[in-house]
Amino acid sequence: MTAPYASPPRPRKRITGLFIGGMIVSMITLAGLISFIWTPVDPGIMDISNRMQPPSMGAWLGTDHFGRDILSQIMAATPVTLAVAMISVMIGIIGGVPLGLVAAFNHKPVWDHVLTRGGDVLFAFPAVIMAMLLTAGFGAGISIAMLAIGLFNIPVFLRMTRASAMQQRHMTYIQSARLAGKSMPRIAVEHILPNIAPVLILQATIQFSLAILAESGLSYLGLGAQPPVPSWGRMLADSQTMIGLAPHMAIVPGLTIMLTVIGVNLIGEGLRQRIDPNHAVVPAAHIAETDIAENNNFKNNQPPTALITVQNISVRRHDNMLLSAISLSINAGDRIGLIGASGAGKSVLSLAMMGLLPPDFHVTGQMHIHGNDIDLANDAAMRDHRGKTVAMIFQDPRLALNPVQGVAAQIAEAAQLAHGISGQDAHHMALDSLSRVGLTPDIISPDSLPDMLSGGQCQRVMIAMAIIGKPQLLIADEPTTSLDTVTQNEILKLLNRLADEDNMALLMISHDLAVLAQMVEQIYVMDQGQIVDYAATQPVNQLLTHSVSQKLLAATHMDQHRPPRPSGQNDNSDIILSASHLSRTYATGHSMLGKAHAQKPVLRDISLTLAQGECLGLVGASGAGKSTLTRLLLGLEKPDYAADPAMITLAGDAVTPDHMPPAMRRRIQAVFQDPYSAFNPRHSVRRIIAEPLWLMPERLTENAITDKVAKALQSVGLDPDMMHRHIHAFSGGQRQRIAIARALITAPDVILFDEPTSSLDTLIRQQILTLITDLVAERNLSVIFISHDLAVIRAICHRVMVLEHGQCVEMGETDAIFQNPQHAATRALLDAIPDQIRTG
Amino acid sequence: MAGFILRRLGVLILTLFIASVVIFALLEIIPGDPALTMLGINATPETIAALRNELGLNANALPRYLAWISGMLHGDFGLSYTYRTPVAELLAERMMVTLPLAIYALIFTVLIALPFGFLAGAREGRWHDRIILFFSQIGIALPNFWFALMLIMIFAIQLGWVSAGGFSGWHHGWINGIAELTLPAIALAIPQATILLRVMRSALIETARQDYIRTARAKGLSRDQALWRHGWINALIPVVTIMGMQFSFLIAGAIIIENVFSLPGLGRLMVQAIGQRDIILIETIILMMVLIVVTVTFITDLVYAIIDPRLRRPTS
Repeated sequence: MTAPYASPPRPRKRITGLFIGGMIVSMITLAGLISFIWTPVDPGIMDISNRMQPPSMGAWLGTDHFGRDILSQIMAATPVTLAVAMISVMIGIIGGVPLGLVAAFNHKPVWDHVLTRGGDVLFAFPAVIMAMLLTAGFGAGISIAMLAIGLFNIPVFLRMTRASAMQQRHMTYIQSARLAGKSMPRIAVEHILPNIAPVLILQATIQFSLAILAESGLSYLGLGAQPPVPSWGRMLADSQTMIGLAPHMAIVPGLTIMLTVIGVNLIGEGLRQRIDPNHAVVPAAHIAETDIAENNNFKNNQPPTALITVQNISVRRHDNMLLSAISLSINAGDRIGLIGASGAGKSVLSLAMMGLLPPDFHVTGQMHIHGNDIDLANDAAMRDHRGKTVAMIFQDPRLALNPVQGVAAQIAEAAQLAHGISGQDAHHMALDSLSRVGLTPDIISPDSLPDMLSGGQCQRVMIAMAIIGKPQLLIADEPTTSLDTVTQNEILKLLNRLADEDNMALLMISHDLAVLAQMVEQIYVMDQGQIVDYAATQPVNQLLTHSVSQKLLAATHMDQHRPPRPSGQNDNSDIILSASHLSRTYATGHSMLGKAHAQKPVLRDISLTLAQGECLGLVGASGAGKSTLTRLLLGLEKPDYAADPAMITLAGDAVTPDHMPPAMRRRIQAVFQDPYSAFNPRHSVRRIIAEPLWLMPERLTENAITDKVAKALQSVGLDPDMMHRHIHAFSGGQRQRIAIARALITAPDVILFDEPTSSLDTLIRQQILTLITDLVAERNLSVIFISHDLAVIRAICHRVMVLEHGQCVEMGETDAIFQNPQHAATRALLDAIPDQIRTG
Repeated sequence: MAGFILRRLGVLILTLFIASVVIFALLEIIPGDPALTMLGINATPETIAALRNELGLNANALPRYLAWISGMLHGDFGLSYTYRTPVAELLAERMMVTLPLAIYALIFTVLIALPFGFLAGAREGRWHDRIILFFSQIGIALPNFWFALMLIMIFAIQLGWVSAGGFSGWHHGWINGIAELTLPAIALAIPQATILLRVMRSALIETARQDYIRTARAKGLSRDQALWRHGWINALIPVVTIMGMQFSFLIAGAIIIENVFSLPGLGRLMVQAIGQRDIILIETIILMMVLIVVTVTFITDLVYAIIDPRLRRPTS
């Protein structure tokens, strides 16, 4: 097996559009350059006796109505056209890009509005109209045409820059750069611009070809190049009256324009394919084909009455085997679990069973439903069973619903398809189904659009849709992974109840054994596209023997791993971080000039203290205000002004977002949730980890930086040699280690961990938690650890603060809170921990 | 919804106001004396003074601007200097060629772009897609006025099916009018249609990757049914954006196409007015064109709200 960060094999070289486009454009550019020193004939020389001659040996492309050589004229016009296009694009970039950055990054929304509106006004003058306006005022000329096209390009680049910069602005790596003490303008130039440059270059090619077309149009109207400056557009204007007599005078310049534009467009398209993430090659687990034969342990004992059987299903995408020879069988009413780490092939298997794999996935093997052979290559064969025999719900319920259709209508459609009933009946059925999943009309309107519902409600809608066809099997692919633990618990209970009531078989997919163990009677364990372990009776978790199963099992036992409690905890001199009366309100709407007109409180009067060497847990469901509190504590955002003035002190000094000197900034660092957006994808690991060193008082030499980065990498368990790689080569767990290394490099007193493990699977989660607690103990760090998962909190925190709707509802020693929870919100969070863990 | 419309109307009026200031400044203030611009450098001081009197140019810029705007608000667009007729009449007459031409071209654009874009997107990578993409590559690179010349060469000169240009007016019956506008509308539409086609294609491909299309297939719909029932309406959102912008390109393109086909529309009037330096006429035509462009942007925003019910909510 190759290392997970090995780069994918390079695709074979072939002649691409980029290559052809490059050839066309360079030849035309070359012809233009040659025209400065040589053309077949002087383009201005008239020869009336040879006028309107068709192409011949003497004049390759013929002559015009004054007997001038057309080829020479076209060559001489090339530099003019290319220069106009290039300069007008430059005007657009120089004018539009900085304004777009200002619009996206200025913290006063009024600037954004003024600039966007200004762009809209310019945009209302297409180049031709602007050219006419300028010509009427200042006279015709090539520079007027250039200016008109350039002015129109400004709002184009402004919009593009603003939109792409806005997208980047919310990436976690921008927050990290701010934690490294960099100012917004500096971040815009250092981080944002390089990352949006590909998009801008692509836009530049598009505007370049539009400029060529616009220039020729203007010159045709007489608003561009004036005689004697040669121009493709004017050649066409001259040709119009002779079009019956000398068609070549019209055809040749037109084809030249087309060819140039096609060339530029091909280059643009080639660039786009390289930039577009959808075209990137995703490295996938690679399985040797020889493994397939050894892996048929579970296929020979299927009863003929099985609801659904799968035999030797293999899935391949390009050169990657994603599944090899999977066999399993499901009977009516079975409760089956499918577990494995991310990338094990669980989702591929479930989508293959539904016949829903994307077209470039190649499936082989047999599948039977009620003993009938299903042709896996024929979509229609499986379609008759989808929604009727087998239904499925997915991981991210918000994305799984059509955003512009009411939820009841989406469910009714499923009812119509499954039962062939009228729209009216289907609507009533949909309402019944919604009630069954607990979404009665008093809770949500049946016409609600998905974005008005919470994640848990969306998953309920998905379940209502899945059960409406009375399926005999429901496949649930990580149905609760994107939900918080309380909601997860409710959804699991709902699935259990519905499966009982309808005698429906369940195939539950998860990476979390603790979740599965309480739901199912049989468990299949998957690893690298194969089934490696199986257990059929309760308690399933004791019967799994394969090493992979053991690891997954170990991950569910969240052992206490708290760092030693610092001594002298009641002494206030030990307090490293304290905050009092923190409140934060967000504006939810803006008027035309950017004035807020609706307020939503997200944090209300929070106070806390953190002692040296202490680990404080912050827990609450999604939307409780945990992340907002993090940003306030880090000095990235300002708390509201209130009657009791908000106050944050770090080792005795006040934290203020307006002025956070480097000496203070480096004492508090953070690790964020999403390891995929936490780093600038264009920077090497060394540069990423070293960024906060900017905060240190002394300037370090390159060698000293390398040394520090190497030590940081070692301390998080990574090989120092990895520092020269780029971040895309690393897995989620490795990235989180890199994020920790970056937080450690300034030797801070306090580190905030904002859900650092919730996007990792259970195996990796355990490793990262162990790393964190070891580091805390070793370096006497003070830590605030934020999570929605009490099991994680209990494993490592000394004290816990429970947040609900922006308020602190309970706070105390971890063990006390677990043994005797006082508040309903705390009890709900405790209930959500799977049984196995709570009892030990 | 009412609030949404009012806000967009506010933006429209603001844009028009700023545009009118820009137009006025560029034509009457920055270049210097408009009378000199109109008459040329060979005019005697007496003639220039006479024209200044006639046009009221002795007043300051601000009162002149206000007079221009308030005149237009009362329906008085002034007298054309060269045509000696009210600008309003001229515009109304010419608008009856340009607007139908642009709308006709938009219809062609949509009729070509949406079905072929849908087909290419739904069959991504297959032969239908490749053929459509090949032709769209050529279509995008077509200069519309050259394409118009080629159409004239083939259909008017070689085949003799239609006349090479001109427009005899709507009083000869609307069928005749539409027939005369067909070739210009095609010339205008093809390049824009191929752009819109590509937008439709990539929007559909993007939509087809969404989880809700998988959900629709999990219900028992075929891939094509899922794209048809849940895909195209979502794919239409970016398509409408581009379509709104394209109408302004169609209006701008009409200026050129009218000159190729000698159609008596706003564009031809505009080119003549520039040749004759008829500043009053130019100002008003450009403002009319800006009005059309921003009105179409406004309509686009309304169409958005129809497609995407999320935008119809009072506050979000």
